[in-house]
Amino acid sequence: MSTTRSQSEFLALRTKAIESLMVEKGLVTADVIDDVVRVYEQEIGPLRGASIVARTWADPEYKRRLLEDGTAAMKELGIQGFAASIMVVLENTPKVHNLVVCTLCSCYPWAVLGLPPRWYKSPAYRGRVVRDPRGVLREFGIELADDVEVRVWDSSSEVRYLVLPERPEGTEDLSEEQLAALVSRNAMIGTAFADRPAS
Amino acid sequence: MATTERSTPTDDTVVAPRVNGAHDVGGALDVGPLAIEVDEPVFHEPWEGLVQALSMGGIVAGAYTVDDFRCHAEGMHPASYMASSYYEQWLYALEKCLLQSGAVTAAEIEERAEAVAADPDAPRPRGENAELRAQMKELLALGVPELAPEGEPRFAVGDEVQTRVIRVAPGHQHVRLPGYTQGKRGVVEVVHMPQALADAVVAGKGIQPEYVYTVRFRSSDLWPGARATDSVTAELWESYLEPAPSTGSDR
Repeated sequence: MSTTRSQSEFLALRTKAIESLMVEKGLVTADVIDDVVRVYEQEIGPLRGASIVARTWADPEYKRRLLEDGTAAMKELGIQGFAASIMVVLENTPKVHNLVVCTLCSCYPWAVLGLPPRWYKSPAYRGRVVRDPRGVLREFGIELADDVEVRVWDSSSEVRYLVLPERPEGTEDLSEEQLAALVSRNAMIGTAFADRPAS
Repeated sequence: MATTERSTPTDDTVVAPRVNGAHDVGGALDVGPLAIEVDEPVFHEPWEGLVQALSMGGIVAGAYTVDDFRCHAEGMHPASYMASSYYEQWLYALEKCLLQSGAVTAAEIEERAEAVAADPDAPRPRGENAELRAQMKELLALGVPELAPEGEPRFAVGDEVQTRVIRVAPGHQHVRLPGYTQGKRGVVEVVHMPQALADAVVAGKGIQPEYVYTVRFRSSDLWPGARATDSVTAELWESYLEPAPSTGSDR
């Protein structure tokens, strides 16, 4: 849903007022604000998660460690941070499809995937996906076969999930960097498959 | 082997969603179409990034906790909640947190809002606090440390459990037990290290760490007509769970 121009202006002004009070009271500084915005706009994004997935495709031993203890195996790659203190990795297979939601708010592994997209935070996704996952997946262009088991993970505590998509065919000769380019944010939530390499 | 009772959905398997506030939407079908935006920006407008940073800043400064923040967002009037954008909900929660903590008064907010509206381009205050900046850097880079284990977990992987039914006053009390999972049977799939009990934090009773369990529910036990092979999991604090009553199929 879009906000009208005047609503948007009102919210911008209101936020400025809160900012100025919080700075005055010593709760926050402009430095802190700039740091947070820069980190999420420029430094932390889905590429971090994609690099983890690419490593698992290239290195079965790393994959084993990641599935056993996601938090520790991500730290090996230097990936940790706020909203990723406890990470669990879910492996998609031809017979099991995992997807992640937070029905109560929008819990999401910020340090691994960046901040969540709007649809992930919307009541439409949060409400429906636990009840009709196949219907929701259809809206993302995914049709699952009848014999595929669907597992929906509702992130209701401080545990965060990363879906490990299946490695597409025809990727044997690709480098880790090329593999990572096939892994979209949605694939790591479970609302997409990994892309096939362009031929 | 005794017969199970799960094949025929009955009316009492229909869950009324939003039992503990407008936010508790799991299972709601009347929530509009999915709007999927391709290549969306991190923040759609600059004020959204500002709200994000201010909300995290207040937590780092110790003015309120993430649980307080969630509790206040949940207390938004249901009609407003459903009509608001995500960061509007955050701004609402942020203001409530600041008011409740006593950091600012309602009069101060109104006065400052008028002043800013009258002169929107006035220079932005900077502030100075190297310690806060270092704390935020650490939080962003490292996250929060795990709590140490306390005692033994009550449940083990494979245990059958039954969730409690917990009703709270939205915006005043807080629970992380989704409405659609309440009063349901499930199986423990993972035992996690203890986490602060969100309910206790919001009530001002300290962090009261409890073991947290990933509990798997058969979809057909949650929703009429759903497939028994599909499932939904939620992570639930120990005090949300009881041992499942016997079905009579045990030996």
